[in-house]
Amino acid sequence: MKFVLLTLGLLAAPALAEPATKPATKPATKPATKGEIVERSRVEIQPAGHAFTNLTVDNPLGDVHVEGYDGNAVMIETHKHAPDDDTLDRLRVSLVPSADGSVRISTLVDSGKELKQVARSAVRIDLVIRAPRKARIDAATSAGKLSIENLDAGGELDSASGSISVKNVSGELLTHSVSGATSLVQVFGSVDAATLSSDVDLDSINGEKLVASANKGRIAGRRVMSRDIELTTTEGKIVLEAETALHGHLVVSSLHGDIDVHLRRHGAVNVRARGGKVDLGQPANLIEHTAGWTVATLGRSSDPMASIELMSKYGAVSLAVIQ
Amino acid sequence: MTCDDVRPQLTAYLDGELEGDRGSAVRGHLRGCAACRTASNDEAALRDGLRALPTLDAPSGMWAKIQTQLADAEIADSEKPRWRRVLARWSPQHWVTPRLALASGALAVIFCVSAWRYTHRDHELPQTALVLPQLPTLPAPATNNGDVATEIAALPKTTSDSYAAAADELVKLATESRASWSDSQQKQFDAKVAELQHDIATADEGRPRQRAYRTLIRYLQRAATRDEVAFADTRGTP
Repeated sequence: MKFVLLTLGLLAAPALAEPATKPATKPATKPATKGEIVERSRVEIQPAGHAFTNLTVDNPLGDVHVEGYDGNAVMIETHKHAPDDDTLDRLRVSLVPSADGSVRISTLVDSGKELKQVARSAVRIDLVIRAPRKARIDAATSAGKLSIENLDAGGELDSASGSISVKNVSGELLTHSVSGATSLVQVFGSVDAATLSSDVDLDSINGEKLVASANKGRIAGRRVMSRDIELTTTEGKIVLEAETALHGHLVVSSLHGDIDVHLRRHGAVNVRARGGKVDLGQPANLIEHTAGWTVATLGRSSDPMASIELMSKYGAVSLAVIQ
Repeated sequence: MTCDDVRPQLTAYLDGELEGDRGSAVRGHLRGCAACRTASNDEAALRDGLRALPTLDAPSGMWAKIQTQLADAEIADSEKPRWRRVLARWSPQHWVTPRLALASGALAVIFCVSAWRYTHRDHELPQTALVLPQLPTLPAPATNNGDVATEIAALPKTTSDSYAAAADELVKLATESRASWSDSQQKQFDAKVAELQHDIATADEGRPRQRAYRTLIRYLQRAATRDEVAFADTRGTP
């Protein structure tokens, strides 16, 4: 029990011939709470030849936190929780570093009929990873929290019911969750965020494209400055505070949710909206009604024009423009 | 052979414990006596109903918890002064142990069954069939499914099922919008949905299938919320 349980993917021998893997600390086992044992260990992987460019993490047993830093090594801290020593022995962390610059980290549980059964809620493995800032992160959890910060190459994050949290990340970013809340803060790059039954919070998003959708959750955006923005919900409300880009496109649509957009305008804007109730916050002489749409052009039509479409079939639509 | 002779032997007869002439005599009596035949059928039905009850296994981890609690209790007991331990053995609280509770329950059941048999021994049974008490709905027999490894293995399917349920709802919503579209839009929509559903059916379980579901869901959301049936993949892959 008092040994490192990290299972190195030594079968990938050619790939592993170069990167150096060393346990940085001896695993420490201690009872955390009554009836629970916690083992904490660290391992560090040094690159050889190629810098690490891609980190793949798959942890269905707990949380994943990845933090970028200016170094070259990948440092992994594992926290295993189990009700007893035998169960702790079943919890594995697999590391497969490759010479091409990728590292794969995954967690698993030994199975077998001879082993004592244990409920999923009784065990967990949490991973805290420090990775080179330039590494792309592909990570997945089930019910555990998934968070990344201070990274420059974006990535893809996937969770079932665990929350997704991103802070200070550049590059293309994809997130999808079934029922975990998604929070993206300070993202500089194209973003695609999707949830089924949870909320999406966006703050300080600045990139070429932002696509976010929630089926039965709301979308809230602040300081959104992406050039092309597409926000969609089926039932949830959409609240957005954004800046228009010259020639940019903003499409906000919902089936049942209300739409409330506060827009900081640069240049001219062509707005068209439709919904159960539409309020564009403009004088009547600037508004036209054509084919079910409420249309308004703000600014001089000779200026570069951004287009805005706001649609809610059964909800209210409101727009407030801030000069 | 009279009814009074047969009734006490019914249980043994149904269990196949009467051999030779004894079994034959009871069988012969049952052929000619409707009351005893009904009693026999009722008893057989009750026995079959009880046998049909699934075997219940304790939830995984329960025994470990019990052992832990027993260990804690023993430690606490060992730290008590001797006079308190002796006194505790004679206190009513000490009698009510889980084993004693189980034994009491079993005795109560035996008593009830015996009383029932006794009260029905000398009386003619009604000709109507015995209405069995409603058997409680019990959880499925415990299997290896309760183990964390099994649960983890089932996660991809569970997640795909969540996406499938959402996609089904959105298909209905988009179909409501479909009525207001032109024929060409409807055809385009139908063809696209069929294509995306085919992608789902042919994708491997897990991430590939979930990705295919997300593509369908986003398409349906666009169609339902803004009547947009032309497929516009704004990013590449959702």
